[in-house]
Amino acid sequence: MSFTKTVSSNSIKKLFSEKWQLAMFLIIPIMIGGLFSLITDSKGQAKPVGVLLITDHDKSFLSQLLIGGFNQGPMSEMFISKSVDSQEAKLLMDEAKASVWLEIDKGFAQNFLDEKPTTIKLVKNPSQNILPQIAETAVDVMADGGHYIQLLFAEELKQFNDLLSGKNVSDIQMASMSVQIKHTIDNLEDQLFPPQIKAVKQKAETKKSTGKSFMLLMFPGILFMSLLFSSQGMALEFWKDKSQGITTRLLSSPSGLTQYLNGKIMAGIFVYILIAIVIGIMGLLMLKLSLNKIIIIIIWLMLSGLVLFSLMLLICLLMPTEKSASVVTSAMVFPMMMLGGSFFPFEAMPVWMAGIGQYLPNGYMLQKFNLWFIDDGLLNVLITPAIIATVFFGILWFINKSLLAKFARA
Amino acid sequence: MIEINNLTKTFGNLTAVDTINLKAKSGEIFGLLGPNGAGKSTTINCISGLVSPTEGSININGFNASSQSVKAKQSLGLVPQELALYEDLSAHENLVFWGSAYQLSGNILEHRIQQVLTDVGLESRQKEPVKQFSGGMKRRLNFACAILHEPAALLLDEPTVGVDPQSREHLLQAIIKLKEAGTAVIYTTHYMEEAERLCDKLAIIDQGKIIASGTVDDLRAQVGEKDLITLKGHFSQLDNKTVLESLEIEILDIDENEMRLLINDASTRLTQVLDVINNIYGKVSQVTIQQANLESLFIKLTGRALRDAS
Repeated sequence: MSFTKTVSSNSIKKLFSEKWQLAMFLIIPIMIGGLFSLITDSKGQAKPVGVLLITDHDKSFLSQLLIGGFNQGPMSEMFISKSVDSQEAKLLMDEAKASVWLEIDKGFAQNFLDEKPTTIKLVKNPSQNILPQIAETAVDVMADGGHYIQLLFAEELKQFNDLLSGKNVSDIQMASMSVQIKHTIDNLEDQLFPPQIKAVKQKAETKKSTGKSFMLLMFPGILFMSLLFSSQGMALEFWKDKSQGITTRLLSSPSGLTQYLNGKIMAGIFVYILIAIVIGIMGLLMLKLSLNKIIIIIIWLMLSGLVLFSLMLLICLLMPTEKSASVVTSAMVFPMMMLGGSFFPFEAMPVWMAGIGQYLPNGYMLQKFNLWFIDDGLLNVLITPAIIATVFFGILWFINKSLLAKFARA
Repeated sequence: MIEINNLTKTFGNLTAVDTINLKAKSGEIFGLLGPNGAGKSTTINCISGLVSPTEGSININGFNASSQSVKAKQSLGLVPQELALYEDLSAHENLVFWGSAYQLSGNILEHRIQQVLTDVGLESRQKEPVKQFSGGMKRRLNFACAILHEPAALLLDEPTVGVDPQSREHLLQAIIKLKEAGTAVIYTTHYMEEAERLCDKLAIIDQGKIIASGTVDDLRAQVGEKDLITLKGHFSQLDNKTVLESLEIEILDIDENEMRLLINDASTRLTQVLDVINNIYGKVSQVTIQQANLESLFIKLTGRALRDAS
């Protein structure tokens, strides 16, 4: 057995003897990815949901119309409406168990129809920002809308209110009301639909929405998180070997440190393939990925893993002690994960943050990976792996030529 | 054979090894004796390639350590002072690792592994993880890793430090066996008794320089047949040495609390010596008599005891 193979098999044996370390490479990324997926809805879109308390003293057609605005469309996905009396509403707001309290006074509809000032009371939970603000904006929009409707259809609304209030309205009156509304709209057609504004349908050239689930978006991030953890762990192994006198003694052997380094790289390739297979099988089962994708994932991760390994090794070898190597690489790993798309997909980041993250080594590789994996774009079969391989061999050449012997002697 | 010519190693302003010459032939154990920090380990590190010499040349089994480093290293075994073992792996796995590093493989490797495990008495423990071994067992395994490839030359850097008597005996027997098989051995230690027992030739090294060398008998002859007497007490009039010299007592070292003397036939002349010392220098509280040995020579050459010198 050649020395390279021996180093490789020893490293793998050691890895399997430290099962918790191996588990850490896989479990933590999967756990984080799983948790992030769980906090999103089934469509993969994370949306805030709050409680809207409604106290309707008026109980009129118009007050119901206003409340209905919160129970329809996107607003209904953001708010869970709850009808309560004033006392209960105050209690719930005091206990911060609701986002907003909307109170409609008695006489609201009548005042509105009589063109008299009327009040809608909106109480916001000060401990929340987004949802109360959305509710306030919605009420403002409704108030503005109500004003214009009143200007245009005041008479018709009165008649409609009478109809709902139980007053008798004849068929003729009903037909007249409908005709009147139509005439009003016809008269306003020029203002509402001015001919000088011509709608031109044009397909916007914005980045198309992926429409993919959050789990699918997280999947590549989980893979790269695993790579970062395992690369750091394997790079730190050099310090463990040094502390056990192995690397120093190797200086006196004919095989030397180059074969030792090659053996460690082989062990790294094994670990990356293992990670890709384990997480790939999860993808196969949970995301229904095709087998072809799994094979490309394995190759891609192997290359990306080796670049991250050589970077981590470079840092480790430059550090004066094992502890400093551990601290510095840990300090690198977490921001790299955060910015590089492993905790949050680039799509969910602010633009400036994604801009930084996409130029970090892991972020760059992840971004290229996503082009193929998520967007179903063409795999940059030649260019990106060639860049990755060049970076890897460059760093490795420097390590072998200039750093490893110094590290072993120090 | 190991041959070193004018070896010098400096670290900044410090000269750790200063123009050392030595030669260990096949079937010979060459001892490097000296206190900690004398330059023994630096010499070993230069020979084994762990550090590069500043000046001088090193030949191992006929190969130049600089220009033919791979062949030189293949001919050399190193037992470093610090253990170099994977604690998580078994003894057998460690031996496979180091055997592969010296390009052994297959049946030859397995055969050699079983042989060296027998030599160091660990054959029954070979499957156990090293972390379960005692310190002495680890030392024995550390030694076994160095002799797997049957090196023509072997460097042992204080291999018995902190070793229990049983393990020490295993190691010493194995070293003698290697010597008888024709291996050239360089052995560093600060244990006099080990050096006297094992070494065919010795060099006493202090502050990077060889201050005496030769066979054990040659070196003993420099001390003569005199015994070493160490006296402890409270002494004064330390400048008055004429009386002792008139009695043919050689003063090696003297201060207010301790006196080291070389004297012929100490056991019969002890009463006379003590009377003189009590009269001139003060009261003696403790007396130790040792036969002439390398420790006496080291004290004679440096004015310090080996174990004090570090």
